[in-house]
Amino acid sequence: MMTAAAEPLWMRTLRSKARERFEGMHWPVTSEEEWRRTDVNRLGLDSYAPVSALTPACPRETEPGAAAAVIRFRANKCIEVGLAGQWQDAGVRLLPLDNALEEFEAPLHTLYEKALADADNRFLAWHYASLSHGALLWVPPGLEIKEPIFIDFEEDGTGTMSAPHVAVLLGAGSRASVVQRIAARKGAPGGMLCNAVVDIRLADAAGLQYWEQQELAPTDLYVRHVRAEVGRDSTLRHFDAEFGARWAKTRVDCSLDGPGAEAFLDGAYYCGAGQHMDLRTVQRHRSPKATSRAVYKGAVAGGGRTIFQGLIEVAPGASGTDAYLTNRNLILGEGARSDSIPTLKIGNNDVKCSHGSTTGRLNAEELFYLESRGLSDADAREMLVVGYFEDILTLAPVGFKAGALAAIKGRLRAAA
Amino acid sequence: MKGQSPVVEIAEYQHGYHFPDESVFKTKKGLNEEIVNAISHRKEEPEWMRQFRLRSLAAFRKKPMPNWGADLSDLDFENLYYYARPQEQQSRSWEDVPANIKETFERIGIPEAERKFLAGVGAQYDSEMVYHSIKEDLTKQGVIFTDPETAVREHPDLVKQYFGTVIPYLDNKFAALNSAVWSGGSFVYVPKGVKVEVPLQAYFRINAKSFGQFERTLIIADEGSFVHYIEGCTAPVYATESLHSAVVEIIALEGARVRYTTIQNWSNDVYNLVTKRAVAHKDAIVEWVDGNIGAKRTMKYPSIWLMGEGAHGEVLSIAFAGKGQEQDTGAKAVHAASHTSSIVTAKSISRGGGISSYRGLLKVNEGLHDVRSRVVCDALILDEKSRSNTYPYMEIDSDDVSIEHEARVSKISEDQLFYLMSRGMSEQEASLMIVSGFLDPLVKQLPMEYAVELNRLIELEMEGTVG
Amino acid sequence: MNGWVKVASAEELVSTMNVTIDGVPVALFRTEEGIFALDDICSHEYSKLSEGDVWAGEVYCQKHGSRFNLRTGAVTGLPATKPVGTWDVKVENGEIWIASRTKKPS
Repeated sequence: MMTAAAEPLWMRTLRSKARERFEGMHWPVTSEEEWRRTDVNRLGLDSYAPVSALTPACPRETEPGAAAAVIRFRANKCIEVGLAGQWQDAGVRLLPLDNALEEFEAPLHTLYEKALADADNRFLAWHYASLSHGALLWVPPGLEIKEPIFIDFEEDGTGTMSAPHVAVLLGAGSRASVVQRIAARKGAPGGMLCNAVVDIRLADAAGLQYWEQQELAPTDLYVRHVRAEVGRDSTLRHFDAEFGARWAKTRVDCSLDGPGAEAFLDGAYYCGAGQHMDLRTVQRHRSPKATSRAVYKGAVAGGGRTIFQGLIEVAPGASGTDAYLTNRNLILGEGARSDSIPTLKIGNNDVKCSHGSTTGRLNAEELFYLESRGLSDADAREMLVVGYFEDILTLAPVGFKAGALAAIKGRLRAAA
Repeated sequence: MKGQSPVVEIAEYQHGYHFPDESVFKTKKGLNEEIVNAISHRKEEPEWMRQFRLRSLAAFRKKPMPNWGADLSDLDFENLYYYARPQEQQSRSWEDVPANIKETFERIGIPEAERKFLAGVGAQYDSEMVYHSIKEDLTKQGVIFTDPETAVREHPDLVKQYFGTVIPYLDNKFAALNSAVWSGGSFVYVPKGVKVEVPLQAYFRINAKSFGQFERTLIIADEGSFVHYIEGCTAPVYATESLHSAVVEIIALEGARVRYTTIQNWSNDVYNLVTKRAVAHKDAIVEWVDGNIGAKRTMKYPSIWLMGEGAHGEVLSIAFAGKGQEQDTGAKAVHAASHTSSIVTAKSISRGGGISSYRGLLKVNEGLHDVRSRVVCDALILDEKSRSNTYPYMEIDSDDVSIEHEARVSKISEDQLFYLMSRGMSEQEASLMIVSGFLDPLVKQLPMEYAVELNRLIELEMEGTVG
Repeated sequence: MNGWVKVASAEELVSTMNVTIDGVPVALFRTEEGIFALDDICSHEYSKLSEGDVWAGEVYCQKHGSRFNLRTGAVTGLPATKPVGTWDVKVENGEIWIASRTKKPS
């Protein structure tokens, strides 16, 4: 087992700063707006023990095959890394965190210090204190990588907290596409807390697609913060697919920092009986002439509870902002609860900002039509639910789209 | 230059004057049991109402200020008078009203001719019903339209049955305050099947330095009845803050319909913190038409609790936030029965640094069927100094629902502006036309004299000074 | 299981107090008409009825004034729209007992 002593000093100092921050904070209370509908007090958070700090990675070198690069984790250990030769030669790096701490000390140090200073809840402080594993992706300026990059976390544990971190740094004019999966090991007993953070920094004119899917065990807890900064003329397309865990609290906080910046924040969630999902998006327009769109679609089965909170915030100087947010909720049965809270805070008049929210159930006429064509009720419902999610998945890499739809179908069949 | 906001200037507040204080009776400043007892004693109230006021005072002290909404940090509760009564008797007709008060109302612009169209006028001066009369045919129909003090004395059973049941004194800090020191307002009871064709109206005016207005209105529409109540007010300018903390409770029994229209134009030093809520029983309809033009700070969310099957609720809201103003308004619809529907249409304009916020709740209880709701919020921000916020909350616990919500924020369309100016209008005229067009769907819902007054007010807010 | 659980001594209950039974918070009230037990958590928003005012056979939730009938748990005043559950109470030998149950209150 690795000892913390092997980590660079700056990282050890950061962890203890984070630890101090953690000790000085209390768990969020329901009187705080963002946590009003998600009471963390019943979760027994203090009983989760952070897994050991970064285990030294001795990952197997692998050929990424059709992908540009791949990195795999089992529990909090990196077991496999592969980067196509041409990208390696061009300067691209996909590293497990303990290597990244040395090779990319300066940017990571800055990133972590700022993230810790900005940490607005105890989970974040805990994450930086207990960073357990993760990856760094660096794409040098001007490089365009068409094939996807896979980051795969297989989580496992009972009564423990893991804190995986992913840092994605794209140089000016570069392009990449990442598919990240966090899932429980097959047959894992579950009962862990996964406290994940994804940090995305896009320099000017860069383009990133980031597709995430979460499928933890039904007894796991999941909290995940994404912090993205999109520079001038850059484009971020982020997709959040949430299916697992008994309790999930996610946040995608994206700031548009230069004219021409664009962010597309899409999400799909399926919440079954006994699950509680609280998803949040923040579109922060700091710079003029930026565009953002957020489309989150969810399905809630009887006995499930979802909360969607979306914020579009436009600073006084951000003229020429074009921002849109929509949340759709499909209620699949009695006893489902769905809250939708899209908000606008607009400080400039030269803007086009709007939001929408709809909640309803499957269209009875469409169901009737399909059943009259010979489909069973279960098949008809599946067809309509898949159709409901399909339009936000059209741009997804083939494998990701198939995986998301398979997860949805599986949940539907299990509930039937 | 493209991107620059249209030039619009605010006219001086037209009603900025006040008469020297002629209040006959005025209690000391600040709030305590002595004052509450004095208020109750002065009104010759039964013991149960005095107890209600005292319990409300205790609740007011305990309850915290809201940690959301408009900025209320300058509000000083100790520096207000909580009661003043200008004269001993209630007037029966317009001729009996004291001259200065009559002049105040005539300057607001109630033409003599209007009185023909009104069923009765309760005019409030320094929190008391100065002038009050009920037209004879209303009395014949069994309609009760009086001040709440008279109702407490003459219709105690009705009052006890409903008073404080829609908005309990513990509901929020300002409802507690009102429940302790309420004075004036209206009490309306419409018997079964009676349809009051002419709108009932009341005017309110603050005219004492550092004065609070705490009118209390209770409207009970019995089965199958209809009534339209209109409330409109103006106030002169003061050096210190004024507080207007009203409570309006509406009960629409089975099959009844109630429309409540407000055009609020308090001067820009008034805190307008109002709790308005209606209960709609089976097949009942409640409509709130709420126009907020004046006041330094407004917090007001007309609400409808849809308690019976087939009930329907609507809220039409207009908010105008100018320099130094914060309009924090919206609507709440709580669906507690199946086959209910609600529609909320909210339009707001922010300019000159004003802040306009929509805050709304749409709640659907569990186990309900066939619940429909549609909320549409449109906001115009006229210049770069101003702000607009939208905070809707949808809490849906049933599956057989159809819930839609939309909100849009933008500035005046430059294309539209350019088109109108190319037709020969000045930028100011064109802006006014666009803003009027923006508000028109809601203004059309107002009774004609209010539509006229509102259009006049908007024009004043948008135009430059003349001469 | 439908056994009776001792929750407090009769002396402890002056006017209102709260206890936990079956893992559920329960509010106890003593009035002239007797001792009553209701779910402690208001059906409107999270708030404890045991901290509320009692007046004429009803409890007023402190947070927003929702009213509930002490005997039946029915809602008698807004803003709550759903009743709260009731619990059977008895006093024996100077001690207060509540009937345990596992089914959810209606």
